[in-house]
Amino acid sequence: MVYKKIQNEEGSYIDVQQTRWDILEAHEAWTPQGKNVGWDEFESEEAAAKSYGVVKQPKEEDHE
Amino acid sequence: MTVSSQICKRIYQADGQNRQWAVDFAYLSGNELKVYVTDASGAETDVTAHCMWDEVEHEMIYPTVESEQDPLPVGSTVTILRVTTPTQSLHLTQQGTLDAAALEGGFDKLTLHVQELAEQARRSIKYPVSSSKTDVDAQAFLAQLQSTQTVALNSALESVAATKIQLQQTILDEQTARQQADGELQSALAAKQNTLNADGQEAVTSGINAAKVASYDAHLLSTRNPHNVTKTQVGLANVDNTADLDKPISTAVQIALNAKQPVGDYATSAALSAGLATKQNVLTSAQQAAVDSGITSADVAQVQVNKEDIATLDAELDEKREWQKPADWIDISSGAINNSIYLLVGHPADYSSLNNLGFAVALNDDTHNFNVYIDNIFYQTYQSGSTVAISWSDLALTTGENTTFPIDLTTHIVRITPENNSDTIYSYQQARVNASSGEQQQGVLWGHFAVDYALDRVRFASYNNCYNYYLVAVTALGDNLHISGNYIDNLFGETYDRVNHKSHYLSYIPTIEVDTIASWGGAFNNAGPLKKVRLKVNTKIQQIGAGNSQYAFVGDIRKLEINKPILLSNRNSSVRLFANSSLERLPAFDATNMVVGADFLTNNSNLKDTILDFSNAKNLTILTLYGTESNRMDGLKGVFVSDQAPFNRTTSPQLNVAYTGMDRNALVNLFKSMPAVSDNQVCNVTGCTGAADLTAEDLAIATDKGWTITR
Repeated sequence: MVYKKIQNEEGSYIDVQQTRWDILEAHEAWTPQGKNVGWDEFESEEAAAKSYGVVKQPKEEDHE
Repeated sequence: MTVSSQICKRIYQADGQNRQWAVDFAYLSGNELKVYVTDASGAETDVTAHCMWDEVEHEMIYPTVESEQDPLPVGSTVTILRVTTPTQSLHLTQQGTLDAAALEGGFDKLTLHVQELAEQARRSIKYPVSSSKTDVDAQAFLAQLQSTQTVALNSALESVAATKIQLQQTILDEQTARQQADGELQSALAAKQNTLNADGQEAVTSGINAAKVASYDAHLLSTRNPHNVTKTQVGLANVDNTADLDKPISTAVQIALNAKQPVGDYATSAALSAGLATKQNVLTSAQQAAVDSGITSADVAQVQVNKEDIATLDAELDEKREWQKPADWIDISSGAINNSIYLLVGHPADYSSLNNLGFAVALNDDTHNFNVYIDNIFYQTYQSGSTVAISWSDLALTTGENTTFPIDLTTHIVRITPENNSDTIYSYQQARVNASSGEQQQGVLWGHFAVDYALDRVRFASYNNCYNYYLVAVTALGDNLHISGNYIDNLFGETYDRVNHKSHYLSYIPTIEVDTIASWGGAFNNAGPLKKVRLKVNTKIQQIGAGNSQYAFVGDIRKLEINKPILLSNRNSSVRLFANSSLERLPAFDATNMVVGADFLTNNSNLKDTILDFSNAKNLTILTLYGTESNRMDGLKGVFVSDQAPFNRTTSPQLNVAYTGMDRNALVNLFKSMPAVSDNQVCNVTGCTGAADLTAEDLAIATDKGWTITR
């Protein structure tokens, strides 16, 4: 699987700077630059998160 | 006797049949006859010992029948020769008797001897009469003759040998010459290979009989099987040259057909259901065992089919069937006092841990009051806008009625009526009465609105885990509950999906009549087994999403009957509008002002074939419509977006149609509708029906516009 870290203020992952991220997962990613360009291959999302230096901390949903 | 003939020998030619050879010359005894056989090659054999003498017929017999030999073949001869014994048996004595016959016999014998000697002499090689050669000379002659013969033979042999050698040499020379000629020919051919120029080739070709060329070409082009090739020769011996439509079915097909149930008159599902209903629970154990043992797998399969038919019919009936209260419930709708709200509430035997029953009621006039009654006994008066908290111990002051549905409860009636009959109830809402947060399970089983006017707001759930777990039904006069406010959020459901925090029993609600809807967040969220929602909109559907509109249909609701299209909001509250729903069809909607469509429609495995068109949503920043690998949303067959939508939401993927029923064509159409982007926006098509079929060219439709496609 390939993964990519995307900055997102509503993301499920958080880094040491408290910046929020999402980790996208796909079997393959066809980008304008080519297949899997800019994406990283890992065994699992957990492995990807560890490599990216982020931990999972879903953001609380916002209701009325 | 007299010996008048000089013959003492006869030579006969064999004819392949004769065995008897006559002796017609004088002889004294058959024992003095010799028989010689000469075969076709000239070999002479004395066969005298194997002959039989016929004294009577004067015949020599050879070969005898007893010998079992065939008669002598043609080409062989039989020679019978007299060989008289050279003895003299005549004895004459002086002064004896002179026997004339004996004397004649003696003379006969001598004559025979002479004849035989003459015959031998005639067969001898003799010098001429005038020759003075002696026997020594004869021996020398014979030796010379033999020498000459030997020399001639040797010379002939030498000549033959010489000729043989000469012939061998000739053969060898011939072979050598031929090998040399072959070698020269091969060399000449090799030298000529591939050296023909066009003219040479033409010369060769022209040298070929034109007629033969034409014949050969015609033969190549012939499609009339010039070699009479048979179908057996090409491995098609079993092919029957008949049209497919005329072919009989195979033996295997016939066997399979014979195993199928024949066309016949079978019981309808309705008849079967009716019949089964009468048979339910009437079998004895023995009968059940007999039934079980007699049930085949085909029976089971048929029963399953019938069950499915029954389930379908039941579902259809349910839609048409009016709600019927459980038999042991108090009927709060019958004889209800107008301008009142009735609540059938219930508590278990031990209600000590239950939260107080809490609700807030407002009247059209905030300064006026309303009364609360428990089991028709006045309880308390409250001012409009008050939150009513009733403890279960107070509720239990009256006896109540026991019920077993949905669980063992003791039920009580709570009635809410304006103190002044001229006042109307403006709103009814479930309320927290114990703490400001945390789970507060209420105890309303049934709510009945005996009002003929619109309420501004109705809620059977409140924010943050305040809900009626055992709510079974809500009814209203005329089966119509008119809500005049713009908000129906939390109408019957809880605010958001939490495990184990949902109404398990809500089965019936009236038609909800609204003037417009601005917010319906959680309105029917996890509303139990409720299958259908009827919304009657009097004016228009205002922009859904002005308030919170997420999770309105989480649960089992399959049908949403609404008489007006939904105008989606320009705010962010199209989020999760149909998330985790089970609606078979989405209501018509207008996405012109739609901005945020995150989780707009998700995890709906009941969705029927649906194509969603957001091509007028020019401000759309994100749109996610997806299932999961274990809960696919195959009913979503197509999606179109606007080529002007920015899709610039930071959350990625900005476009998600994963695990839907979009085939390759549908995905290509989506790609074509997508706008050009510049921030590596992501479109996720993982698990789509046609995701694996996308070609590089298909993907390039999107990637050339700046998108990343994940699958």
